[in-house]
Amino acid sequence: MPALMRRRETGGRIDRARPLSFTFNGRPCTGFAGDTLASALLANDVSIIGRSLRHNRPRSIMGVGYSDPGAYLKLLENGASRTVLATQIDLYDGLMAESLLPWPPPSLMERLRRDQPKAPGADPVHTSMRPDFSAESGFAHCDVLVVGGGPAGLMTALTAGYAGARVILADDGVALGGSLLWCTAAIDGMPSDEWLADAEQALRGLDDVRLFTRSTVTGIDGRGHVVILREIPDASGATGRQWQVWKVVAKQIVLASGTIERPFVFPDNDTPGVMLTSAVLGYSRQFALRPVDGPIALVGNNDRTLELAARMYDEGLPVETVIDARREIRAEMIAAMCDRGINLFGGHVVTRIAGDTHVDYLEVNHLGDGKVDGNKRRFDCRFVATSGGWNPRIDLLRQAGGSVTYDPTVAALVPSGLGSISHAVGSIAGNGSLGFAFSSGRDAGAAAARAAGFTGGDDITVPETDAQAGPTTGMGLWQVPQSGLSNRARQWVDWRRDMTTSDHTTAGRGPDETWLGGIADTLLTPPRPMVSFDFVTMNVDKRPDPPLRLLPAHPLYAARDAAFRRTGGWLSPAYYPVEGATPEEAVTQEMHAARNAAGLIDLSLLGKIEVAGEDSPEFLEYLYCTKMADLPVGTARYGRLLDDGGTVVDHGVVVRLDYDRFVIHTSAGNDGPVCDWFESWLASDLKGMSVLVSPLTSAWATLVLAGPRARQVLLELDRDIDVSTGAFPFLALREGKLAGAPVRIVRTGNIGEVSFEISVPANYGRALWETIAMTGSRYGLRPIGELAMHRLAAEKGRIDIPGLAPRSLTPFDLDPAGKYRLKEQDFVGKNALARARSGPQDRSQLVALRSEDAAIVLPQSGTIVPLDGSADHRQGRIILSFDSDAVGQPVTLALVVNGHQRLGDTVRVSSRNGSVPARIVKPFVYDPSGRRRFG
Amino acid sequence: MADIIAASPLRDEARDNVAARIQRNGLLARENPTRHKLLVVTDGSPAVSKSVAAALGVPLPEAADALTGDDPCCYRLAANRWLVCYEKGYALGERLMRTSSGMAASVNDVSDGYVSIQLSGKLAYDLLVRGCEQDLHRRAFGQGRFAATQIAAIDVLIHAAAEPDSYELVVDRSLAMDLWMWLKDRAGDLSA
Repeated sequence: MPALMRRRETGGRIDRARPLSFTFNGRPCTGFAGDTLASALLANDVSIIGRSLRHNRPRSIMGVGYSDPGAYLKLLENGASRTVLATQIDLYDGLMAESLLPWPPPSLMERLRRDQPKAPGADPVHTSMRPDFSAESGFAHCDVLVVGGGPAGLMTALTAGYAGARVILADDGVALGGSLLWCTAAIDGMPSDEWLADAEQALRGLDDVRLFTRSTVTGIDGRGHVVILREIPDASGATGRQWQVWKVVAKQIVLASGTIERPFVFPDNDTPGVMLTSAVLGYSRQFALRPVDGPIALVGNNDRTLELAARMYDEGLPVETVIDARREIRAEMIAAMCDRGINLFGGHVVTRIAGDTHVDYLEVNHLGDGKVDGNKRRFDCRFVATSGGWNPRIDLLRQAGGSVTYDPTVAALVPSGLGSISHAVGSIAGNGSLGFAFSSGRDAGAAAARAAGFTGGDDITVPETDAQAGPTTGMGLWQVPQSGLSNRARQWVDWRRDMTTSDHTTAGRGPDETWLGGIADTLLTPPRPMVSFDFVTMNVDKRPDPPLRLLPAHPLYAARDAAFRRTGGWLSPAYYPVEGATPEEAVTQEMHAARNAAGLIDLSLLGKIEVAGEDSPEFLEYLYCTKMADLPVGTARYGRLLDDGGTVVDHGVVVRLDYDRFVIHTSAGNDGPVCDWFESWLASDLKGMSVLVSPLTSAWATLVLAGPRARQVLLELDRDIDVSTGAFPFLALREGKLAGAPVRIVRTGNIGEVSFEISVPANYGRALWETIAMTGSRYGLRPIGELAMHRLAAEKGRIDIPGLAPRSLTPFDLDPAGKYRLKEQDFVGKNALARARSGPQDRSQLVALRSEDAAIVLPQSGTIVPLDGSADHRQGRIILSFDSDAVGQPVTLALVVNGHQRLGDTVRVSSRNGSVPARIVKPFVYDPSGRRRFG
Repeated sequence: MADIIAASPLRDEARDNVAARIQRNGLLARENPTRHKLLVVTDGSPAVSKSVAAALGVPLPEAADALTGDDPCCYRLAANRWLVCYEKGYALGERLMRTSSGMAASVNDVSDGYVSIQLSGKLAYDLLVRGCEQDLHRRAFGQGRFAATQIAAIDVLIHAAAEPDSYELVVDRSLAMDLWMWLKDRAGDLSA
């Protein structure tokens, strides 16, 4: 296939001193630093880069930047592959690219062979669809955000920056400049390149101006919040691996995002060798690429086509013909063509391109009223530059709540309402002239700075330019009329998905919709260019969310290789692995130690809230469903908090430190909500009560030393507290020193053994745990994880452990023994509780289940169904089930509908492995007399 | 048996008996373990606030995200709830507790519940904006400003210190290591 473009010896923004090697479909190629993959392919005479999806048409590079609709290739990196847009990928040494669908298409025999089963390993191994990438995010605030780094955006940023505003300018290009990168006009008497360099230097000299290149604004909401995706080349120059996601809050947003050239639609306009005029200019100025030798034709419907024709001619290219669909063309443009001897055919359109994989010649007809007519003319040519007009980039405007209207002058949708955008400047406003870009940028920059509270900027001089003044006029011609065309003539609007004007009324599908082919309101189309869902969801930090809270002695647990679990936002040991033992055996060993020697449990994750003040006893009496006001000073009591509906929202031990001072404990992670809940009562119904609520969770570490030998361990430690049974009874509080640290110790017994709940200022927590563990090892002490702790409590018939019971249970539901009584005093949830007790039943209630075969441990994932019912009639679920050494049989706690009335009934426990019958019983209570925990 | 010794949650990050620190590219982050903290809660009555302020030596700030004083400095956490941080005058806590007894005020020593991290250097701002939604630019967050905000989704109190390019971060001790590792990780990415 003949080449499309050739590299010039000089010029461009490439670094010829830094040659780079790469491969395309296995073929060795070379390029230079500063090349994109697309420009390097063109320079290596690659004219066809693959084939289209539906019709197997050859596809070539036709655009520059991310406006190219079809230049998607496969990049192979580290055993993975990703799909990239060749025009957006910077070339780096060693790059390996392949066609997504290779050209030419496989023959029938090849396809039949391909469909045969392959031997393992027959294909190269590219297991992942996406290689690893790193991304970090950041927040930025500014007075003025400028989207687009073309002439209008640069002028806006300069003006606002000089006025003193904090400015962020984001541009998706590799370099700032936009259309200035291929502009040949003089600005303030100097070449545009020099003016651009000066402007960039001036911006970099302003302290509060930040310039983001390779940065795409992917979203704007209605409140001025903007997301910018920034690509950072890595050390090798490769892109696509390192990203920054900036979340920007801007007081003023100025949209200077410019326009996108759309291709002129005519038959066979997808033939390799047809390229957008902006691409021809871009590849020429940036990459020193020029069309191959041979006649060149330009096809379009607007002034830009003619401007480009003159410029290409002046650069020595063999431009012979310009075919312009417009009948009326400005006199100076006609003169410019005549002066150069270029044949200009106004009011004509291309009706055919001869050649399948390259351009041989064009056939051209006159365009009459709604049809092509007249004699067919034929022009030899090898390269076609085409322009169907310029579409303002309105996608961000629409995201920001702005509106658009059709402007027939430029044949495009232009902004009519700005939404949360402050200003739209430059060509997006429908005027593509350089002078307008500068003046509108200056005005918007000054206005935005003023709105953000800065004066100045109005006196900034608008640069003078010799570029043509006035709007770029165009003609809305969306396809060549079908009459007079052969049936096979297809006019392409979506190169990637093979959409033609006869396929749909839309101008493309999916991500390509409205991209190039036509005009449409883009409110519902995705942001462009396409971005990974990683960035859409902002899940780029690769860190747990929310953050993990660590226990004071966490490093000690980590050193023991504890298996952790997340409880209420805390990272808590689930169990401590034992070499040679399964996790289940390790848990069993921990339980055995707690029942027969001693165990050490870290309960620092429980919430701790001090409730103080003159009215604190009455306050707690009203908030808890158990009595609290009569709690003697220096003692503790277990209590439950209910909501207005009478269901349990939290529970824990309440310790009375003084007449007017309590510390209440909440379940893990629930201290914040409980604290807020208390405050809300004090701000409403209980307003006027003198109660002071202080959250203290992290200030204290809480360790529970439990088991028959716990007291012996304590006796080994230096202390000023008498821990003997007589001096330190059940649920008593003692304050003093232990191992030199100030402590509060409460005698508890939740797991059914003698327990000392030791609270110590958190900075002592780690050392105290270490000391107790070391001392206790002589007595068989083992650290106890959450799993063993839950099971030990379950052996006592308790499930009120966070995470195990749903918050839809009343104290009655949790009390199969029927011991709970409503207290006389009023309390939150009392009325609802009374109604629930006397009203309709059908409530889930805590019971135990016992298999008819005592050796069977019922499955913890089991659901409970009637004995003769189907699995669809779910009546409850098992919440904890395990084989208990201490009890001597399996322990299974479950929530069953009306469980308390159904004691003795037989149900079926259904699980993935089948179903087994089980009887509903009262929870078995280990050590029912309480002798062990009182001892 | 020897008495046990209190230790910060960042103890393992400390070296050679020097508190945990990160020094990279002109950025210095260091824990300040000598910063004491008191949680003060009152019933909101002006008389109580006045008495507490008198014992404290600085007024209790009333506006949201406001602070008063330097040492001690007083952050307003919520309505009628303040965090007092101080280094000098260890007796301040006891004095405040004595003052509060008998009046509708509660004072708790929460020095172990929070960790203070001082961040300074020209890159301190660049580091913080990687994870903090609050506008920390010197124009919007000048010397003496304070905010209860988040860094990398971790709740922190942040205070623009008297020295230029310096911030004090106060974080719940259970989250201190998470924040520290985030600072350490991101500081490595910063270029001088």
